[in-house]
Amino acid sequence: MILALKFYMFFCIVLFGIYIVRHFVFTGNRLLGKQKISYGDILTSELPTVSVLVPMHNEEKVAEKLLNRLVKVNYPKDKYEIVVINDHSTDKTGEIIETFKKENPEISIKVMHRTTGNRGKPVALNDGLKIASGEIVVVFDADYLPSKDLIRNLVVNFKNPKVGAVMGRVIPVNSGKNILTKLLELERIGGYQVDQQARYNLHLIPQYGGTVGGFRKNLVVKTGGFKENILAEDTELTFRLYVNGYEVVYSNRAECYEESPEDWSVRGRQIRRWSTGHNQVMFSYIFKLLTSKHLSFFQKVDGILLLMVYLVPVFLFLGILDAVALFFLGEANILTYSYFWVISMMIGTFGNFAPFYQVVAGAILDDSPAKAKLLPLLFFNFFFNTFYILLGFKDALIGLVKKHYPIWDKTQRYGDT
Amino acid sequence: MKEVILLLGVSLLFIPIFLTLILGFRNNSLSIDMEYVKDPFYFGNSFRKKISDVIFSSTIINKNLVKAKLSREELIVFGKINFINSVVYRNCVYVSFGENHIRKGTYFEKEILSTGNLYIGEDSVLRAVASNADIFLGKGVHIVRWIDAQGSIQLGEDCILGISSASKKEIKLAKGVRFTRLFGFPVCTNKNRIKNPSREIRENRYGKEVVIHADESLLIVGDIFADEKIELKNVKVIGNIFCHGDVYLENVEVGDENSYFSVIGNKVFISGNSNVSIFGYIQAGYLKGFVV
Repeated sequence: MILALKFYMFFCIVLFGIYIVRHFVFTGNRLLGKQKISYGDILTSELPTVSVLVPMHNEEKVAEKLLNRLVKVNYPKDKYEIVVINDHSTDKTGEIIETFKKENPEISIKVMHRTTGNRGKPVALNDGLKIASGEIVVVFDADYLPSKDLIRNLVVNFKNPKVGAVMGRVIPVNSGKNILTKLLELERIGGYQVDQQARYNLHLIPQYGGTVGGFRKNLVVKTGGFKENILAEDTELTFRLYVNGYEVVYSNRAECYEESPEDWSVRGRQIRRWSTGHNQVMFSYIFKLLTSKHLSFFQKVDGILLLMVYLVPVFLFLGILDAVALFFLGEANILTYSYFWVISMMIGTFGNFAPFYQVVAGAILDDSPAKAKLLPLLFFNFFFNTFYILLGFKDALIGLVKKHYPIWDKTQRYGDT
Repeated sequence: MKEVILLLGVSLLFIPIFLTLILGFRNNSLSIDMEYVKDPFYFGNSFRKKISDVIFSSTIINKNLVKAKLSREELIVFGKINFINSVVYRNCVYVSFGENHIRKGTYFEKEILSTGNLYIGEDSVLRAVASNADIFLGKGVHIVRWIDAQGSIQLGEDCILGISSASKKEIKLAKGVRFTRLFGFPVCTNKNRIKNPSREIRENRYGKEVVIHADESLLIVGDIFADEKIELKNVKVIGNIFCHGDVYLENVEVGDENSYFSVIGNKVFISGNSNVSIFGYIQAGYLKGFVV
């Protein structure tokens, strides 16, 4: 028993050590390393056709803002269409969409009202794909505000035949709202400006994030569309593309505003959903990833670490219990075992989604270093996140054992920015 | 020893916080320019707009000199550049009407806008140049920031073109030129075009390295992407050429009058002795484009 507890402690120390090294490598790459050229730099008259898919469920607060931005984008109108999927809305979303379509006849706007069948983003996207005619599909959640050049900047990445999906950068529009939105902005800065870009630079696995991103329609349709029982359809698509020999590209200059959750309960439910979905993907793909012939050794290592992102807090939680047990059993000299443990916990998982060196590096690259002054508060965020990640892991585990799949829980919109 | 390691480890936590304190307290929110569109003519158009916006609100100092707020307060000289001693007025913005000549070895610290053809003498150094007609650069001219012509741009040997060069017509290259971004219709070494290619391939190319040395001219309809190197000889490409490493072009034509494309690499080498003609955009790292 004691041996098992000690072995688990050793396992945690090694695991967190690996994550620490990974975060330092990413930070170092962004501050000092060679940066890859962005495909977004390509200028050409020959652009592919694109369908912008917007799934909406009770989005009356934000629907019109997004649609207004989408009709203003800089993309040839004969190669561009907007597909809005009104997914079981019970508010005025449907009316807003129909009115908007009538008022903008110069743009091809297709509207689908889903009133039967399951609700949820993957199901809505699958239905949207049936009526989308573009070679490339770009997806936006309803609370996003795309800039004028964003569609071109994303779509031009697909000129590279190896690219299966592209992901742009998300920037919170309501970061000044309260302490939560400020902390979420820090996570976004570290997560995109450093983590995603470094993975692109190092030819690892940048992640398609489900919104402000796009994919090749034929690839997704050919491989069965979106898996409707998986709550992280974006992560699933990322790994599906990689094990099939395609790449995901991160485009740091394809920036788009999003609305961050403004209260803790909404954020908690969002994390729980992400954790459930991400762990579902981990159960499905960890062996496929290891056995894929298309991935390099380092891509496999990065892929495994990425798949385990929402499992690490579970290991950490158990590790804390383990340390306490060892201490009370008189088998742990705290300074012997824990000095690395304390450091790794503080450095490696501080903030969980964007460890703090990445946050500061990102803030410096964004010319906003003062933002990182709130960094110490991410420590509390970490415990909050851990709680909901544990709940999400439990949901995923139950789903795996009982084949009982969780319901899509949409993030609440505020529409006041 | 362990305690020292622990202390050092924990202190790592505070280094980023100290860094933010040292680097400043600005709390500007991350902003996105929602109207931004990637445009090779951005610098020239933006400068022309600024000049036209301030032309009637400027303070007149004398019949050729006004003071106006562009990005900041600037002195603007209206007149013929070749009649002005640029050594004295080199820190002024110039708006010059008709055809203009800049003498050999002249140094301008600020932007120049010429409404007619502009001839720049050898070894001159200019910050930024816009012309509503053609621009002719003598040997060894150094453009620090950007050059923009509504007409064509003819380069002398060994010119250095800062961060952006754009022409609505032709950019004629010469040996020894170094550049970062070029946009023209076409950007070329001479006016000879590749004759009708004898073979045609319709597919995209992707690889670690893509090396195509065709004995006779070859047409590729598709994009070419590589991680480390692209080397093309005797090829016409209707598509983009993109490499994270270096690009070498000899007797290569990209695009045509009806469709423009990009040639992008970390370094781009263009053989100045051959016929290279690119309709569209060329991009290399800062001053890592070479005509050899």
